[in-house]
Amino acid sequence: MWKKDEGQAGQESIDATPRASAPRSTSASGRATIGPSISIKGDVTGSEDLVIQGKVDGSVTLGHHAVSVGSEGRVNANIVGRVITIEGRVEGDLTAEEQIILRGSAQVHGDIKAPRVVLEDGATFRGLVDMGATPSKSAVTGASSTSSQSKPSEPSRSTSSVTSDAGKPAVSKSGPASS
Amino acid sequence: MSWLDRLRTRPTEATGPEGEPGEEASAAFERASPGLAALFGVMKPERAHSILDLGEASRRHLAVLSPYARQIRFAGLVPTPPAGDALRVALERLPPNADHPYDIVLAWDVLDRLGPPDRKALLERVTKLTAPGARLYASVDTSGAETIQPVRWTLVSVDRISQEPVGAPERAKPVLLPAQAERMLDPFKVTHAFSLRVGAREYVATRG
Repeated sequence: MWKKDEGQAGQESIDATPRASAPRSTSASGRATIGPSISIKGDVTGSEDLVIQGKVDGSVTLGHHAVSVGSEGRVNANIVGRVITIEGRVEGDLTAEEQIILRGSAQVHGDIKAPRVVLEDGATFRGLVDMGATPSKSAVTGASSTSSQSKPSEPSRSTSSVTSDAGKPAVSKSGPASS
Repeated sequence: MSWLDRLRTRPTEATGPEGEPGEEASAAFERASPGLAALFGVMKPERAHSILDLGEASRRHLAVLSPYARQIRFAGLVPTPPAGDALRVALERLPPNADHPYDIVLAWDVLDRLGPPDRKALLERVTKLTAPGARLYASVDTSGAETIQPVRWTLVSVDRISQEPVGAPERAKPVLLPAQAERMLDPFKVTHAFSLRVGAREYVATRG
């Protein structure tokens, strides 16, 4: 349910629309965007990809869609999605069907659960990483697909990707020393 | 390959500056870790473990740990452990693992940087979160220096570690003698102890 953030005077507000789709900002990519000046208190649900550049307190549930928290995004909520990418700050648990990516600027405090977790150098994370509970629907393993999920416009960064496909030990780009 | 074999293939001394005051204080250095080699030597790379890491998450850390554990909790108590009430609050916020108790604990250098009451509180919480048979790795400073430089610990591999100095040096606590350290770790019983030339001692202990 949308609620105005009464404590955010001067900020853009959004009409209260119970269980509405994520707010649409017409974007060429077809993704809904919560802009940097927007503050939301309540539950965000929908059936399209969402980019959060503003502030969200509550919950974000987009089960089969991608959720991105941009570098300006400040989220105090649990997030559920297919692929979750974090560049900003999140206080809450992240649950993804496929993959969670914490980019170098990400600051996350909460538990993350996904078959695949990507942690870039510089990301700050405190909490539990659980890579086993959600069965992977994709057959991809290793880091190559991780690269393809990354933003193509960004320079390639050093990442660690771990997966739990078929219950096998995780695969990482850098790879642990053989034991 | 056993932990001892792994060590034999690599030098055991530090490969960088050894902490001389004021000398390259900001440089990270990498060294062999016989304690971690012993710990990983008994771990199964089948994601059978549940790890409580009292330090910070990092890319390399996750890459090394992930083949061994399905669940890894990063507590963030290292490199800057809180003290007193703040530590107790942080410890209370460390939840038990829902699936099964943590069976591996990475304590890094936190124990020797806490006063006795805080140390006791930490060990009590860790004991609550683990089950008998759980293993704990800890490193304590034995250099005898007046100050201790907080470091960010990063696993480079299962038997090597990187230590990156962060923050201002702290006044060091009195050096823990081996017998004191063993008592401190109770109910974890020390199974391996290694004295390192870098001025540290590493312990691997198993909860009785």
